Amino acid sequence: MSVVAEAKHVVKRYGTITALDGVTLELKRGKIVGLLGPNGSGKSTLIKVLMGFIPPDSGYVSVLGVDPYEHPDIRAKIGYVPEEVKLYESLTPKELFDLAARIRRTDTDKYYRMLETLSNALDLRSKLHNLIGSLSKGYRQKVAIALALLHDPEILLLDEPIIGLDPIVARVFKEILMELKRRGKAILFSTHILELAEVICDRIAIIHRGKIILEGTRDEIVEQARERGALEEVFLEVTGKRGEVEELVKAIREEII
Amino acid sequence: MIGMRDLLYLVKVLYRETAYLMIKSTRPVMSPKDAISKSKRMWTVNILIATVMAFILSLFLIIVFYIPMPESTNVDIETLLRSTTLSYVGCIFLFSFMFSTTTSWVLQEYDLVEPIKPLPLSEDDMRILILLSALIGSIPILIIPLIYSIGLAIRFNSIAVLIIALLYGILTFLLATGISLILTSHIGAKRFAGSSLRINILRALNTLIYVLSMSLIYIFWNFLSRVNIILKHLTSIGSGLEYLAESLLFIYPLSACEGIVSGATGDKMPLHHFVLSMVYLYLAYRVFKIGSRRYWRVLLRPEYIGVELVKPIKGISRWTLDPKIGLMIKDLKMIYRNPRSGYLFFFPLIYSIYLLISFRELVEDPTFLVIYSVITYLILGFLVSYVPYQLLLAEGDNLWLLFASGIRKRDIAIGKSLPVVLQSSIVLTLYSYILSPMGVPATVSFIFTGTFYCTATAIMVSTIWTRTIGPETRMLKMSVPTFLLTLLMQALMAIPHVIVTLLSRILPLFYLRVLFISMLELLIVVIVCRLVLR
Ligand SMILES: Nc1ncnc2c1ncn2[C@@H]1O[C@H](COP(=O)(O)OP(=O)(O)OP(=O)(O)O)[C@@H](O)[C@H]1O
Ligand SMILES: [Mg+2]
Repeated sequence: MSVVAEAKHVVKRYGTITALDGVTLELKRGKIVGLLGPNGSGKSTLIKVLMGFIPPDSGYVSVLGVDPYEHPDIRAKIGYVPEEVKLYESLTPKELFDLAARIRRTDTDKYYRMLETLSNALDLRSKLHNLIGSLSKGYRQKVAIALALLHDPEILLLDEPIIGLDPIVARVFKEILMELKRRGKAILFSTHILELAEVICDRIAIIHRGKIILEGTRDEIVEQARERGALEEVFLEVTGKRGEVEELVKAIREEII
Repeated sequence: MIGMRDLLYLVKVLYRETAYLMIKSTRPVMSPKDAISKSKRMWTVNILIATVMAFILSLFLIIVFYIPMPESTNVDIETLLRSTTLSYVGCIFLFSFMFSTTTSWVLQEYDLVEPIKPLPLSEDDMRILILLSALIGSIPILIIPLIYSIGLAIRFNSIAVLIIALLYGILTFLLATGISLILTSHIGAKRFAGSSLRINILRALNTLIYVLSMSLIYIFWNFLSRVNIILKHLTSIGSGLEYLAESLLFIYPLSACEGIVSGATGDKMPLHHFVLSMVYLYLAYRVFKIGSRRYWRVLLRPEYIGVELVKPIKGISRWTLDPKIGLMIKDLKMIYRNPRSGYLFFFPLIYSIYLLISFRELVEDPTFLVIYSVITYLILGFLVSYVPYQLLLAEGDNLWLLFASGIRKRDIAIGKSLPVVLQSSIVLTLYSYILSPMGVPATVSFIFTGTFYCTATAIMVSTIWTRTIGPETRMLKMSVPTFLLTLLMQALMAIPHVIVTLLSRILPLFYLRVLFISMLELLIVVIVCRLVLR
């Protein structure tokens, strides 16, 4: 099984905050890795480091054999959905896709086929020629997802991709991910929806305070989960948040009553 | 209504936010204290530079009244007063107009007002807020009225001229800001979402109206400088027209000239001019009020009109499958839809048409034509080199999108310069009409030389600015050292052209030489761009 992207002992500091504290992670062909962790634990930072958007302070990053920070053009083979989607409001989705296709030099026939398929699958067809500024949040998210998939990338780095999607599209998106996995793509996605991670991930990594505190195949993690109840319980346990949460809940109850 | 102190605080917050966004990509980590002190420093430097420029400008306006005139010149003091006053009002108008256009665009495009929208701000609050945000950057503009009116008051020993000059300065500022806000909201109010024929026509009309209004404003002020000659013609023709010319003088901005002339040279207080300027002040305030109200409404809810349209999906042509071309297509579309974001793109076009009209009468003297052609493309190169800067600024916080698709910085630098090729070749082809007496080869070589030169300066400036951006950039940083560097490099690139122009005597050779120089420069710039940027 071939590793297509990896981070080794990656450290990334923002001033005194250590956002990543020696993270090691591998992405393999045909595998979906779910990245879980509390707010501010470093998920987005890790994804940005893998994208080559920010260089690590120390450690080693390799994507498709090169350092993505030094070789920005490798991103033409990556699909990326950022946590906060910002798009050109005065372009239509179609024009945005065209722009990306030209930058990535996607084969024109392939681009056309993918555009047909994806815009139907994601229910974007009717919005394709309207300005993005006039689209609702969910549609913008769909545009961002389509943008990440149109060039049939080798690797997908998705930062909370299903936020804002309605249940139907979320379901379709799940199916798309499974299909891409079958076609040998390497996928990393961060999410707060534990049930989703439980269902579709091959491997799960839980990150806390910039460190990967638990990593394993889904079965291993689910095994742990079964002992403790649900994945949520594992999550609370390993991040040491159980006590905190119980106290909070108590406080809320007392406040309200 | 909220208190003045709170409003001032909001203005400060808006300004700090802008500064923070600019600094963020290079300094992701910043304590609130750092952010405040950095934005303060940025503000101070910007204001300082603008102040110096405004100061020099005002000195130019006032200096003629302080240097002794040689006896031989038969320019009387009234004519001098009229023409400087016209430039005075024109300067304030154009600067306030440009400044307000940019500020209002930045406020809207970067959604800076978004967080304060839910606050219970009344329309009046908002008006003051807009005025203050515009003021905070254009305070230096207000130095011009101060120096001009005080300068005149001392020279002519008259309080009346002080008051009238000040009033006209302030009302011009309000008027220009108001008109710019009205135009801005006209563009911003309706965004055309669909792409049916009707929507396309509406969109084209919208853009056309904006570009035409902009050009009319510029041409209007240029035209005014000749108005005295026209008026003289009118009076000399017949008795009925005399009356017409007289009444024209009470219309703004000519009324400013008359007011200042009578304030400076009359013995008593020119009461009717004083009243007139108060009336104009009131009208300017009305215009400003309308402008700010419309702008605020647009900020609240820009409307997208257009039907949902299912059109067949078209693929893209293999020929356009290139990052640079993709970028150019996108930028041209965005400028077309939102001309505010790229008015520098239209400006040289507008300006050239004006120059074309005014140069037509000029001599066909070959030496003049040679100098003229070189000056033309040097100036044009200076103007268009700001287009890449503006296009980068117009990216807003969408730069991640380009970088996530795998674009290289060098492609951004060159892609942002490609519209300049189009623009400068159109402008120069128009210009070349004046050169036609020189023969076809010279004219054609002029067009090519100019286009190469403009493209080279654009790529150079673009490279310098592109160096400062990255995937995490939220807003292009307007840093003064970088700006000065672009100026220096432009000066360096102009030098060979100037030298060759001064040295060459034989025309055909001259044109070949500048053509060669511009090609060489373009080549060097492209190589530098590839070396400097990954
Ligand atoms: N640009 C930045 N400047 C300074 N600190 C940052 C920056 N980006 C992230 N951080 C810090 O790095 C840490 C990790 O942030 P990150 O965005 O990676 O978290 P996350 O796991 O994605 O959280 P969330 O679930 O809320 O999206 C946080 O402490 C955050 O405050
Ligand atoms: Mg995140």
